[in-house]
Amino acid sequence: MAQSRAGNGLDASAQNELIRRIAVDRDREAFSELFLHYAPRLTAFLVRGGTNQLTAEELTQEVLLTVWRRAESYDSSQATLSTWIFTIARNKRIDGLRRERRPELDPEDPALQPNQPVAADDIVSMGQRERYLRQALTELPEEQADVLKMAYFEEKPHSVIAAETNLPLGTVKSRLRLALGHLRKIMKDAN
Amino acid sequence: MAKHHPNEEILLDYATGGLSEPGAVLVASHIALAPESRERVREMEAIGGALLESVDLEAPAENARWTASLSDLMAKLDEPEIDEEQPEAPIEEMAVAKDMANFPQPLLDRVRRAGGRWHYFMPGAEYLDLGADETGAHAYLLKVKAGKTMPQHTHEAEEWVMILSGQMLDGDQVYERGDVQVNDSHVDHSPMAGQDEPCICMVVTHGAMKLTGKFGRWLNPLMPR
Repeated sequence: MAQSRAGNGLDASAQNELIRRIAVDRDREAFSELFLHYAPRLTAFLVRGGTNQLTAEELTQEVLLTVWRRAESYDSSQATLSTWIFTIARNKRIDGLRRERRPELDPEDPALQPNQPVAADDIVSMGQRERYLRQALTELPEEQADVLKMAYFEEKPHSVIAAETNLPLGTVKSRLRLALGHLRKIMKDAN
Repeated sequence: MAKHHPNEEILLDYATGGLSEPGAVLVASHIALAPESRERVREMEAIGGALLESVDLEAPAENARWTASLSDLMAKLDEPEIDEEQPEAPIEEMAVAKDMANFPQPLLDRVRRAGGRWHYFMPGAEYLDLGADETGAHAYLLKVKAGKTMPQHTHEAEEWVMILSGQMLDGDQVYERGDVQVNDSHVDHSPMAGQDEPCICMVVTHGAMKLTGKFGRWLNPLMPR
């Protein structure tokens, strides 16, 4: 598949090819490409959340080092690469703030209750779903997009968003609920 | 399979990283047992991925900076990874091994780090402290004897309860393995363990529990915090 429009960098299938080359061939060329795509984004994401520039760049390096080391554990049927990298960055940021490692779901957990199997026809490519999602994000009403970004970029619980925006907690909750409901519908419709 | 799921707000705070550490242990364990919540969290993480992809970038005039950062990192790719994890006691050696056999992994890890054993809580109930974090959120396990009713109480702030084994009956609701109940100061209740086996649950509090029964209020100063 061709790359997405100029300025937008690599599309999901191009990214999957790069991560595969990293996992299988330990390909440094592929890693460089992925780094140049994600490093500016991760740093901007972290700075947007209140991390200072220097710390953000260090964290970005740590995140991408983890991508190099854990490449073979990435599963493209479960999440897009950007989603996987988002979760690594989220966890690294939390680990930096706390003594303890963030508790995580363990896919190998013997206690894991399996999902209902999904019919093959219902499986939509994760990359496709993400394209719809990104489009939908640009169309959200500004007031919803603002609280959603605070929740994600700044990792703020609902109550803190309410305090910082001087909005009643109920308003924050309903804006987030509306935004999530809309995005969820986009994801469901994509399936 | 779990029927009572935490609300969307709690799942979103987990997915974005905004939850307290004890709260995150509870949710990570719950989503292992509840595929429906797990799917919701995955959707929320997908939103995070889409936001990361579409974050506003400054003009790409600074390529030189990223190239320098990349060559720094390239030099580190072959360094051996340092595993900072503390060695943990084998589960079999722990006093609570028998009760932990079917715990989800995130909770199991937490209990192993906390160590400890069951302590007396009140007649028919024991607790195992899992500690608090810097936000004041506090986690503990509770084991209630089959058929035992807890004294009437309410909560100063939110309390989350996840059932690990046995049943908890509260009003006309039945809670089983994987189910989560969220209680706040509007809830004044007296839950009861099912008749067949002890009920073991994980509790996360964001404020103290307050006894409300006739005699209970005199006992409040003695409640564990």
